[in-house]
Amino acid sequence: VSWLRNSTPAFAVTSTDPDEGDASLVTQATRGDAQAFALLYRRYLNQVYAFAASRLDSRETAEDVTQTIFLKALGSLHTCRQPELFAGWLFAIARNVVIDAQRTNRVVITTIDDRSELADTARSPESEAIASEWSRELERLRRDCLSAGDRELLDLRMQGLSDKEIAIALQRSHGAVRTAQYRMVKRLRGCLDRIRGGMS
Amino acid sequence: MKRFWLSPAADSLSDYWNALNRNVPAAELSRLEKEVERAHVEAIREVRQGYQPPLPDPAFADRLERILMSAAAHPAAEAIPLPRVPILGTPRRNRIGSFVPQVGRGFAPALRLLLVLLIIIASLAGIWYVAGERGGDDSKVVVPAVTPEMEASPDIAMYRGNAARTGVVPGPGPTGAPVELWTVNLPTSFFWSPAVVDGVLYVEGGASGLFAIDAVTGDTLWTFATSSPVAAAPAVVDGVAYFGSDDGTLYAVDVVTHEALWTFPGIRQESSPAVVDSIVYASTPEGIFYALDAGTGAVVWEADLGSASSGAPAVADGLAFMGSADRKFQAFDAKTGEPVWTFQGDGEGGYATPTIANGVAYLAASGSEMNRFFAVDLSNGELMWHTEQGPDQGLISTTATPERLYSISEDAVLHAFDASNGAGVWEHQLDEFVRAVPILSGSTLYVADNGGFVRAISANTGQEIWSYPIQGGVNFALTVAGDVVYTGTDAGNLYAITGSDSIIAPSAFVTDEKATPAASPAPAAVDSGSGQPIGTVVMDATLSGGAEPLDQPQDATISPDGLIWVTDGGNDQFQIFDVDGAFVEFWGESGEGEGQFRFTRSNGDPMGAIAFAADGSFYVADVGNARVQHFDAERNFLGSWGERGTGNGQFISPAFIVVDSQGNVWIGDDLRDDLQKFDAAGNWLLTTAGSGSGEGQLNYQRDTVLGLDDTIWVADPEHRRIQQWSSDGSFIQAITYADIPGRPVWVQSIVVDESGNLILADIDGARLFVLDPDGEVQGVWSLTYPDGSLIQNSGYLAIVGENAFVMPDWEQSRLILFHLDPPLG
Repeated sequence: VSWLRNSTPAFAVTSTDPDEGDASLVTQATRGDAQAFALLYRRYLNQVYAFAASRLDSRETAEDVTQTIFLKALGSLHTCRQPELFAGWLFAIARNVVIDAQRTNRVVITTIDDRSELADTARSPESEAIASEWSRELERLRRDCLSAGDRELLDLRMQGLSDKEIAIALQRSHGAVRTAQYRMVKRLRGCLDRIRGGMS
Repeated sequence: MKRFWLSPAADSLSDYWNALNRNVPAAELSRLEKEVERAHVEAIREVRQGYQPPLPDPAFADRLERILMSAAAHPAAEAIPLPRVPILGTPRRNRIGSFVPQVGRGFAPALRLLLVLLIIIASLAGIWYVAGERGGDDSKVVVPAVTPEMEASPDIAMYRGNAARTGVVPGPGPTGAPVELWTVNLPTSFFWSPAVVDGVLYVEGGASGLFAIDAVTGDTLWTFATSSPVAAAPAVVDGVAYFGSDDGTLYAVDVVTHEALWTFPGIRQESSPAVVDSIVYASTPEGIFYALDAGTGAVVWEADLGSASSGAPAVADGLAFMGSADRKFQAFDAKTGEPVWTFQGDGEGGYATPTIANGVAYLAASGSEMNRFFAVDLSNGELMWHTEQGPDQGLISTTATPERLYSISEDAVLHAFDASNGAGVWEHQLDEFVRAVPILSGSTLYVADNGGFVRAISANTGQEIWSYPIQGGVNFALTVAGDVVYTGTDAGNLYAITGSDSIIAPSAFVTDEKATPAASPAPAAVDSGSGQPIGTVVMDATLSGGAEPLDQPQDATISPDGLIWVTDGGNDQFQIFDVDGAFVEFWGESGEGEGQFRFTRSNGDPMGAIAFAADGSFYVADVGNARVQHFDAERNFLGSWGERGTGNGQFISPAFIVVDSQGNVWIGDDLRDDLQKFDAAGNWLLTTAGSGSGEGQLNYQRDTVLGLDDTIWVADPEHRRIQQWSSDGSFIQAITYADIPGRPVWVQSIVVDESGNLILADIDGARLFVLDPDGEVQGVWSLTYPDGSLIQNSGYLAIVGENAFVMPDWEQSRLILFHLDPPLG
């Protein structure tokens, strides 16, 4: 695969403004501006990878899935009919690819603790301890209180998607997402109360 | 050490749960629920604080970027082997491992190969088509399930759609986003599925007997009283409704005269009758299987099953089938009752209602430990194949097409199996336990669960297409007739849910007189009275604000001197524009002092509004500070009133404000769910009724605006209506979405023009509806940007001039000036 060795793609367009909005970048990328797509990629790589890794059991699978997601996005960018909601569209692809991976690989939903090897280790010891305690508690809530649908909703929420983007990602109505999210949080809170002894 | 997730959110939920346990009044529960809602965004923020996102390895990130760049540069790059093995080619392992036949390994590639072959073969024959309108997965090919029912009427004559109990209905099912056609509450806890025949829904009505309900309007047409509650799904054939009741009586009731033709005693509860060729099939608890003359109730034949009957009877291919508790499954000649064969299964528990399709009887036997699923050859009663499911994974019910079986297991997984061998095709984990057989229409499965959701799921991929929340859980009460899903809950609510693409009335049931009411011809501006958009909005300007851009603008209001004041939600200020869109100035600042505002309330929603009085003074709904501030025309602070609370003159979320012609100030509070009226000095005058769904009650209301004669209009989207109050606070009317051709999905904003026309912004449907003062639709316009994208999540409209409007798009943080094309006639 010698083409991989090229350090700078010859076709790169360098005039793209890195601060441009998604809609503009999508439009440019659709017209063949590879650099615009590169900016979208850099903008969403961490979120897409984190979403995949939160739902899959190994770093390798998460990387495979992430690669598939972005290749699919690149190949079907012209079908993104609401460029300003690119994130929702991208996560709709992400969701489908992750589901396919789970089905074909019999993927066990990973726990947050299991993913500690995947986490960023550049934290102070104290913040690491706090986050670690919280991670355990959140994982327990996530595992014990939430349905599969709720977990997916939470995972999308964790990536910072808006209600509208989540609605597109889940192919549900905006209202349905609002309702589902409300129910999900309610369940989490009820469970938290029980875990912490307030409501047993 | 700080503990995450210890916010007031937990406390408010605690209060809520405690209240639930104490059976406190509904209004108080509703208030507490609001508290929970208010805090939930904060809770999400807290969760994210502690969230450690797994980050990609930098080397991987770099490598993938290069791959993408190369792929972008080389259209054929997909053909270049990528550094990793594609994940989609790995062998499938099924969760119900033990029964997957040998084809299970490597099944996915094989299936794809099969699909490719199918495409080639089908395209040569000119009969293939590719899915994608709804399911969203462009790689999947739909091979429509062709069944005899598809060519028939939309009627659902009996349980599971037909006597073979296939669960396949002609549909076509709703298209577009799910919208409520109507909801009614009956004095029962719905358990069984309704029949729908000739535009009439036949449902159990608890102790009141059988209800016949207009399928289009939800109106009760007639009832038939029974001595005890209806206890199985009715069958309606040739003008007669057949149904059993709790006391074992099987009734045959003429649907025209509403009189009983005959009754038959001793029938088992839960044995939904099957009716074929003028014979009614039903069984007794003791195991007597009866064939009764449909016209007289006389016994045509009877057979002793030898054990208690199990499930409902099925009839197909000239055979009548009945299962029993000893796991015998027997086939009889449907006309003579002659025994044809008996299949003896193993496992635990009796059989659920069988599904007869493809020359096969599909049977599920569920026990506490052992669960079996059998495919029995109809020609000889021999076992063709069987599968086993683990504890708590027994299959509940099966929907069958020639290619696939769809079944839900006790652990709430919806499965698609290959009909020829039971191999798994896909699975979809549902949130809640499901009893009702999935209903298949076209390529969509409809499922209703115990947790209060109706879902549409792609039969090809298992992906959810939409879900719709309902009040209460669903047992078996689900069916699809025409383009409407009907479902009844254990709370007694009966729902008719159609699609946003459906027109005034569901197409399947529109009779001529219903479609064109003689007294009210369709308004000329509406295309054929269908409520379909006749035009679109045309952008005149799209504004991002002054030097500091708009951040989540919500409300636009025109001042007496003709300027546009916009609440700049994220910046706690106003941005002021002229009517051509030129930025004029900022005004106001963030804070809690005089002339300072909080336009983001505690849950993070941008809110707040302004209203001008005739004397040029103005009032600001300072939502985050729970108060109203009053300024003179020179913007000098005159005073303020309000504090947090539920008493008169207090606020929780004063988000909407109106000043009437007398200078009185109305405040809409969407967490108190009421309107309060004050005089110009802030003295409290009245409060409307609070939370609820009744007339004049509100729940999480939206826009509040002034109508003709100082009336007040309020958007009440949770109840799918807009409501009107008089200036003395008395309720005038509600216009429900169902009354509006084209049927809005979520009306967020209202504005009333000088003629009293109501302009409604349907933000989920991305349309503008214009109603005349009598509520007649004058036109519908698509809310779309020039690139075709939808204008959704918009804020509150204002009229700038003749055929000129302004509306904030809060999610895009911009302000749009537009006109209607064609203009409102």
